[in-house]
Amino acid sequence: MQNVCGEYLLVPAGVENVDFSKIISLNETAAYLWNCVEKLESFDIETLAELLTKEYEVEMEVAIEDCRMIAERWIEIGIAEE
Amino acid sequence: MSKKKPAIDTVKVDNHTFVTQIAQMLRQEGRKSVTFTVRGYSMRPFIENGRDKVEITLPQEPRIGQVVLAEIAPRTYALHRIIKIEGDTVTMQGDGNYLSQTETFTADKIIGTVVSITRKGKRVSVESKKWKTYSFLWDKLKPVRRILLAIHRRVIKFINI
Repeated sequence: MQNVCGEYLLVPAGVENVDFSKIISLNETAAYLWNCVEKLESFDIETLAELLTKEYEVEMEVAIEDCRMIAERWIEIGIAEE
Repeated sequence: MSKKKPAIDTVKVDNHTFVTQIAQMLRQEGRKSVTFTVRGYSMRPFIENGRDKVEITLPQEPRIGQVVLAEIAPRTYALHRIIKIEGDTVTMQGDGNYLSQTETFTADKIIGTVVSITRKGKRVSVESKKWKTYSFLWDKLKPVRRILLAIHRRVIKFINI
């Protein structure tokens, strides 16, 4: 992940071609979560929710709901697998 | 948080930041090229602002006819075609520019060399016959370039050519 002008960009490492028109940008919260889990073999929604409650003032229930959505989107855009 | 589809937004950053980023990425291990959407009208009629993309690699040996991304003045960049090489000095001009609208700089100011253009979603390699033919013809048509560009400007408003 690289920070360009306040945008958190996910730049694939080691690939031959980087296409800026297809680059993925994350907001600050998503970037924080991604940073925590990107090195992990696997993670689940609870892991994300715990990370979220640690850093932000949010109820666990709400955090789980939000993290479920973000995990779905990560799977949808292909940066995470189910 | 509302549920929505991944959004495709266009993020515009200033040229200096962007080019610095490109140059850095080109140097990353295992990287061969970087692709980005082009801004500006100076490479008309082939490359259209906001529609077409170019793929660049680290600078190759400059050749006439090559399209390169270069720093033409401090923090000022252009992606144009090389029209003259004299020793270490390179002159380039946008396909959509004419007469004295040229840029001259030293070869070390070249940031990257274009290897393909994605025009209207179709990838055209600079090694392809299509690109070579276009390049040859456009060069030959230089005397009437101004007229052709004026026609193109009017026509492109109505049909996407």
